[in-house]
Amino acid sequence: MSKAINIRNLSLYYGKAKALKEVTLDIEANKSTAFIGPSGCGKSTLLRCLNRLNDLIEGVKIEGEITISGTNIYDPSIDLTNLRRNVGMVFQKSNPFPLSIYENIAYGLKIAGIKDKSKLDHVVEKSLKGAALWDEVKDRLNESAYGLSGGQQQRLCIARAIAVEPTILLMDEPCSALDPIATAKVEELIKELKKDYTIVIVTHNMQQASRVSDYTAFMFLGELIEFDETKTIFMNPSIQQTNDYISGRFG
Amino acid sequence: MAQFKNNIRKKIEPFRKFKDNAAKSIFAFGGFFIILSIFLIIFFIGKEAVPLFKSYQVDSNKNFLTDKEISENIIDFYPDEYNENLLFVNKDGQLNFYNLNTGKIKYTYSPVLLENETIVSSNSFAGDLDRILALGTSSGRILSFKLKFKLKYTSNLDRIVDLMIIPSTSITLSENAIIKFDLIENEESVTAVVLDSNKEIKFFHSEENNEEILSESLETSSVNKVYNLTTNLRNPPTDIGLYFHKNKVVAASEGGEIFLWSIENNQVVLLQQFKLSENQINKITMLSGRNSMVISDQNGSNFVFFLINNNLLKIRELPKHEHPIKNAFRGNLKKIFTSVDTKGNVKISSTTSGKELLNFKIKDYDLINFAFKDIGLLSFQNNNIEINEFDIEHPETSLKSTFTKVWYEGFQQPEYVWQSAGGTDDFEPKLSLIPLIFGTLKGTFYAVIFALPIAILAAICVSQFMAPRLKNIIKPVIEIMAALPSVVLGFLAGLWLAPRLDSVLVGVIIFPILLILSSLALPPIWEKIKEKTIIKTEGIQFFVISIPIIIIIFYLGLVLGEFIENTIFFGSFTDWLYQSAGVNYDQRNALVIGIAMGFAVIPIIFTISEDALSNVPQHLVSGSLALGASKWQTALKVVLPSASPGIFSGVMIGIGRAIGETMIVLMATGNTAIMDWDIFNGFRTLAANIAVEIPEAPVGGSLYRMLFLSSIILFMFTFIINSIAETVRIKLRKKYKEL
Repeated sequence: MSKAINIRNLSLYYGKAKALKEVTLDIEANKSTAFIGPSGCGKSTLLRCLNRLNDLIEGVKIEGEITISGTNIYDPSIDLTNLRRNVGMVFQKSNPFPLSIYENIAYGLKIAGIKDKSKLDHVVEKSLKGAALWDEVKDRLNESAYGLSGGQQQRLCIARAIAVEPTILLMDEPCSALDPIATAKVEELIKELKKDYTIVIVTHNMQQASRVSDYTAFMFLGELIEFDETKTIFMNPSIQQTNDYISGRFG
Repeated sequence: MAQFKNNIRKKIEPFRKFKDNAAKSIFAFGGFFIILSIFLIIFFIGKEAVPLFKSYQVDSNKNFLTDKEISENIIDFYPDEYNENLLFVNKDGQLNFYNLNTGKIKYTYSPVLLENETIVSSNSFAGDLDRILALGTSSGRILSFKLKFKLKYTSNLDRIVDLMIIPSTSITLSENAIIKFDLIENEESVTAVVLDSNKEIKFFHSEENNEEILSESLETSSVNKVYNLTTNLRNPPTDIGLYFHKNKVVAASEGGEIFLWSIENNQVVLLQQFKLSENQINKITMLSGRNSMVISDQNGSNFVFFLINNNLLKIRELPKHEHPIKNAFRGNLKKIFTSVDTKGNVKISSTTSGKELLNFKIKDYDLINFAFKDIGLLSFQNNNIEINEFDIEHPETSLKSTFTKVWYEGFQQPEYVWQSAGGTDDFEPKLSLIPLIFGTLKGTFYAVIFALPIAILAAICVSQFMAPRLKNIIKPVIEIMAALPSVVLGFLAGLWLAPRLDSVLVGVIIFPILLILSSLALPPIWEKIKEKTIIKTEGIQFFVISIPIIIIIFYLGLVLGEFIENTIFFGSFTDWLYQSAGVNYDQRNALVIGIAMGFAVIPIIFTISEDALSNVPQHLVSGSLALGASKWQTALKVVLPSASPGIFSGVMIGIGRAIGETMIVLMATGNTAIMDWDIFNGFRTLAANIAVEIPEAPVGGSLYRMLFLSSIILFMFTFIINSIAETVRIKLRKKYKEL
C-alpha cells in the first residue's frame, strides 16, 4: 500500500500557542481521508500545512516533517509554486476570481506560463467535465464566474484546482456553505475524483465524512486522537473520546 | 407579577421615547442643516457670479425743460459726472454751466474770439488730469480748455458740482471753419487733425508745451507744422480720427473709403487706402485708448477695426442698425460703444465681445451726448433735454468672451487671455477662464503623473509584500504626510526646491531611470545574498537595506547628471534646452509643482489604494497562491484587478485634491496665465488665481464676479470628480460583499 503523505511529529505554533501537537499520520494515495473534530481542533491548520498555506500567517512556526512522495515539503530548497501545483486546494467558501469562468479555470495554467490556446481550451473543458460542471456552463464560458450559483461556484473551484493536474486535492469544508442538493453533487464529485487524486477533506459533517471518506482522522485540541478506516471509526472506535464525539455527546 | 411589569414599563417608556425622538430630530436637523448650508453656499456663489451675464435695461428716463433763451444758440453740451449739470457751448463762444434741477446758470465763461469768429464744432476728451473741452471755430482755430470740476456737499449732504474753466491751447490749422476735429493734448505735446468746411483734412503736431503755443502770435503759430492730407481723396471726407501714436490719422469718405496716413519726418505717407463698401461712412469713433476704432456707415453697420502692424484690420461687427448711423460714442471708462441711428434707435454693445448689451429708443433730437462716466445718454431738442440713465456693469464679460478666443486690442490674433488689470485706465480687461482651467488641468496632470506610480506601487508593496509589523509603522507615517500643511509644501517648493532644481535637473530626470534599471538588476544579486544569510524579502531587514541603496542610487543619479550636463549639454542643461529646442526654463515650473503637489496627493492615493488592496478578501489571495501562483502574480492578477475600482477612486480623490490645491500652486508656479503644456513652464490655476486676485477685485466689479464664477467652475470640477470616486467606491464595497 503506497502512502502519499507522511506526517511525522508535526507541531505548529501560532506565536506561543501550540496549535498542533506532534501529529503523526500517513495518508494513502488515491483514497479520501477525512479530518474531523470540534471547532479549533486544528484540522484545518493541519490541512493547510500540506500545501504550506500557513506560511502566509505571521508568527507561525512549524516543527516536524511532512513528506509527500518521499520529499520533505518543508525543506528550504522546495519551490512553493511547484508544491502547490501538486497539492491543489478547495476552500470552505467558494472563491472564484473576479474573472470569466474560462479565465478562472485557465488561471493556474496561465500563471505557469502556458499560453497555447488549444491546450488551454482542452484543459478547461476537461477540468469542467471532471468537476461535472461542463454541461451547465459550456455556453457561457466567457461570462463572469459570479453569475454561477453557490454550488456551481464551488465545483468551479474544484475544476480550477484539478486544472493544474495535482496529485493531491485538499478540501477545507467544501460543502459547509452549500445547500443539501449542491452538497450531494459535490459529494458525488469527490467520490468520482478519488479515483485520480489523493483527497484530504476537512469536514464538520460526520455523515459527510462517513459518506465520502475511506479513512478518518479524529482530532481534538491539536492532537490526533484516532486514525483508522472510516468504517472502524464510526462503527467501532477504539478510543472513548472518539466515540463520544461521533455519538454527539460533545463538539 | 404582570402588574409589576406594567408599572415599570410605564415609567421607562415615555423617557425612552423622548430620548429616541430627541436623538432622531437632532440628527435629522444636523443632516438637513449641512445639506442646506451646502446649497446656500452654492446659491450665494452663484448669485454673485450671475450678474456677469445679465442683460441691461434703461434704469430711468428723465426729461427737463430749459429756458428758450438759454437753449437758443447752443451748438453742443456736456454733462458732468452725475448728469446733474450741463455745460452748454454757445455759437458765440459762451460756455454756460447749467444746473438741471434749478434751471439756472451757475457759471459762465467767455473765451476771447476773433472778430466775426463763431464756434462751429466742439469735442471733449479725458486729459491727463482734467477733462479737456476743445472748440473748433469758423476761422480755422482749435481752442482748448481744461474743465476743473469740484465736488462739494452741503450740510444736508446735497451734492454741489462747481466748474472752473482754464484756457489751455490755441492752434490755427485752416483758413476755413473747422467742421470736425480730433485732438490729443497732454503735458508734452499737442496733436490735432481737422476736417474743414472746404473738405480738407489738416494735421498738426507740436512737441512744445502748451504755454509756448499759447504765447505765440496766432498768425505765425505753428502754421508751418500743419500738413494737408487731402491730396489722395476722390470722395469728400466725412470723419477723421487720431491714433494714440499721435502720428497716425485715419479718415473716411462718402464713397465708403478708409484712409490711413502716417506723418513721419515731416512727410505724409499714405499707409493704407481701401473701400469698405459702397455705403457712405458716417462716423469714425476712436475707442478709449485710441488703439482701435469703430466705423459706422449709412447702412447702419458698425465695424471694429484694429491697427495691426500699420495695417487696419476689420475685427468684428457690432450690432447693426436698420437705419443710417447718425451719432456714435465710445465709452470713457468701459469698453462699450453706443450708436444712434436716424430714427433714434440706440444700441450699446461691447467692443470686446461684440455683444449687444442694451437697446432703446429716444425722441428726435438735435444734439446728443454720452454721459462722462458711461451711465447715460443725453439728447436735446428745442428746449427739452431727455436723459436715459443706465449702468452697464460688466460689458466685457459674456459666455463667449469667457470661454472662447477673443481678439483683443493689440493682439495679432484671437487668443485666450487672462489679464485682469493693466497699468492704464483704458486697459481692456481680458477675462478668459480657459487659461486658468488649462493651468488647473496642467498642474493636476503633472502632480498625478508624479504621484500615481509612486503611490500605487507603494500601496501594492505595503499591502502585499510588507511584513505586518513594518506595515503598521509605514502606513501611518505616509498618512501623516497628508496632514502636512500645503503652505509648508508650497513654501519648500517655491523657495527651496525651485532654485535648486535647475542645477540638478539632469540628475533628477536620470534618478527614476536608474532606479528602474537597478530594481531590474538587483534581484538576482539579492537572491544570492538571501541564500547565504537569514534576511527575508518580506522582513524589516529588506526595507532597512533598501533605504541606503535608494540613497546611493539618488546620489549616483546626481553625479551622473552633473557629468552628463558637463559633457553633453555644455555645462548647462537649461541653456542647451533653450538654444536647441527653444524651451524656456522657468524657475517655478510644472516639474516643481509635480513634485510638490505630488507629495500632497501621494498620501491620499496611497491610503485609499492600500485600503482597497488590503481589503481584497484573503480567500481570493489564498486561492491564487494555492494554485501555485507567486505572491507577485497573485498581487498583479487577482488583487490588483479586484482592487482597481478602489484605486481608481483613490486616484480620483487625489485629482480632486490637486484641482482644488491652492497654496502650493500659488507659491511655486509663478502664476503665469499661459497656455503651454511644457513641463518647464509655469501656469496659473483657478484656485491660485482666486487667491492672487482677491486684493485686486473691488466688490461688485467684473473681476470680483469672475472670481466667483471661477470658484463655481472649481467646485463643479471637484464635485464631479469626487462623485465619480464615491460612486465607484460604493460599487466596490458592494462587490467586496459579494466576493
